[in-house]
Amino acid sequence: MKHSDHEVNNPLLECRHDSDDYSQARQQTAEQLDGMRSEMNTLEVPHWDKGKVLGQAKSNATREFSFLPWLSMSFSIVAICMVVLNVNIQSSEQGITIALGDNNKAISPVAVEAIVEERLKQYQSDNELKLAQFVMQMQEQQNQSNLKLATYLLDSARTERQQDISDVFLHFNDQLAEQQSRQNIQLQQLEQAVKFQKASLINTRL
Amino acid sequence: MFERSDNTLIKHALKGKSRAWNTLVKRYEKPIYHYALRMVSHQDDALDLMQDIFIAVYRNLASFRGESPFKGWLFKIAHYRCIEYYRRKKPTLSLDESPALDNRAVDDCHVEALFDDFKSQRLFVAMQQLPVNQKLVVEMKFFQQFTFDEIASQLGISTNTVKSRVYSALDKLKLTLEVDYET
Repeated sequence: MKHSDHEVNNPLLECRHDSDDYSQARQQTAEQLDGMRSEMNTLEVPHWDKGKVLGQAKSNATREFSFLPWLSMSFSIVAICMVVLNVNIQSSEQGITIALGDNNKAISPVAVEAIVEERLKQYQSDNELKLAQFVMQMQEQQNQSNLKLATYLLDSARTERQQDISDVFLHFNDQLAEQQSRQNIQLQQLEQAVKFQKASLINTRL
Repeated sequence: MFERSDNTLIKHALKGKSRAWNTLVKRYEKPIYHYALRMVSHQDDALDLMQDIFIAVYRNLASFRGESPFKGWLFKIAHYRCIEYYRRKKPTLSLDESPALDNRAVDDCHVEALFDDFKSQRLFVAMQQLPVNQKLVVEMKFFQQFTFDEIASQLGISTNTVKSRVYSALDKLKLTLEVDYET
């Protein structure tokens, strides 16, 4: 056997014969693989274009190498130009304004002041209009409230008067009834007195 | 015959000399092709993978410092490209998982046309049934003759992991080859 001389260290499996990793079966398989190495490596490489691979590798490398630095450099140049030329880009309602240098600023302070003044006037007129509308609404609301209150007061006064009149009538009716009963009693007493006098007259005549 | 060293060829290749590059490629195309063939089991795919590997090698050639052997560096790139190939071709298959028994891939490869003797054919087919990670360490250990430490360094894993994968692969190969011989 090829490795029979190595009693302690097995070079093929790189382990000791008395270790847990060693086994006769593994040793045999390893020797089989080792022995077939030359037979397994006899295949000839099919023809292939090495120059094409080289060209492809170069083109890939060139493409990857050149693209990013050029892109980076382009952005850097643009940024430097913008700083050096003091490029001023401003967006407004009329569009985007690009200005170069300090003297050519897109909006002067006077124009800014005019714009601010115009905005303030606009704001003021808007506020006045809103305030007038609010006052009108308040007045209308107040009128409606007053009307409701008057209606309520009239209704309540009318009801009270009706109540008072009916109380007076009741009082009169009670007084009439009482007076009538009193008169009845007096009439009955008078009747009895007349009857009594009549009887006493008869007795005296007799 | 005088043979220029890898480092010399690399220096010339970096200067743009295509002859040096072609010599370097010719020196390593055979082991890389066999590596690719055993890893992907198909001749056309192996050729594509080999070309990918050499393209990647050329693109990274400037980063090779020459402190370690060129062959180890070359195979490190080959591993990365091979793993990328598997992730592209079989994104759902784990690298620690055995591939499904799909004999078409092996048949298409015309194993009989590749190898004359029956043993080589059986071993080639048996290797295709190993998980990618195990097939990789078997390839590196027994066919490219790297040590466990070198393999661990190239794959970025521990030596014990490499050993464990090799021993598991040997156990599986033993079983597969025994079954093949019995049938």
